[in-house]
Amino acid sequence: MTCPPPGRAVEALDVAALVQRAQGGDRAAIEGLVRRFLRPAYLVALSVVRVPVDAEDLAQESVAMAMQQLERCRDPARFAGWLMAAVRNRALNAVSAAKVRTRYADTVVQDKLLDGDGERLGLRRQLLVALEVLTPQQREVVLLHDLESWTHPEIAASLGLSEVNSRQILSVARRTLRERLQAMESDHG
Amino acid sequence: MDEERIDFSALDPARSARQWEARVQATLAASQGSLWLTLSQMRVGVFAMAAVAVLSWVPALFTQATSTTKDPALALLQYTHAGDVLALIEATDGL
Repeated sequence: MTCPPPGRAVEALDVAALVQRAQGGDRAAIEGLVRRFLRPAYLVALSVVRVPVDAEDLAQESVAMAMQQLERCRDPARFAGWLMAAVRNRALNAVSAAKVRTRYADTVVQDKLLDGDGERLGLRRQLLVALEVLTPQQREVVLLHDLESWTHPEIAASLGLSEVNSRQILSVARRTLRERLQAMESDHG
Repeated sequence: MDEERIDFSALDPARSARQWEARVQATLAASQGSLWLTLSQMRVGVFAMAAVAVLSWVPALFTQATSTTKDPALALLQYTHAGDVLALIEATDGL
């Protein structure tokens, strides 16, 4: 079993301490948790619903709900896994209740409304389409690792996987995505 | 193993700092909506309500205790037991 780098170990302790303070009603600690975990929550939600605007709404709802129910997190050291499981469940419920627009066309419309940067919009659209070829679990692993810089131990804890499994999933997801992105470029080229 | 990261920055919502900060603030506002109802604070609230309930019961107990001394049947019994004939006659007249 590999040890996390010292910086990461300290960070994990920081999170546990923050959670304990937040459970006591410390507003600054709650803000610290929200700022640290809102974006990972968004990425987990995005892995499931695949629509950025809906993922942001779900992340906001889930994190706010988690902050209100912090007493239920009995092991502060496992806060990240507890929170991400809540986000995942909420996103899955939203999908099964057909509250989320899953059609690609809707995503494009939302993006046009929210973002005026054409080049970035194109990239964003390309990435969203490419991500469609992955499973939700592959999407979660690759997004948390490559965008949020989570380590494999953190991802493994969040998803209930082994670290070896997390590494394998990341490798397969990257390869599949690159192939898809290259195919898309050659189609357009 | 594929070790090279994929650039997902186009999907990063925090790139638009102003919008993301608004999202953070909205989340904080939603979080604080019922913070005062955390379990530890609820325990204090439940304890306080129980204390009020017990305290409000004490005068009722006291009133009940004093009223039993005025119970005519008990008074008659006490006068009889003490041999207080005058008080016994007054009490039976009242009945």
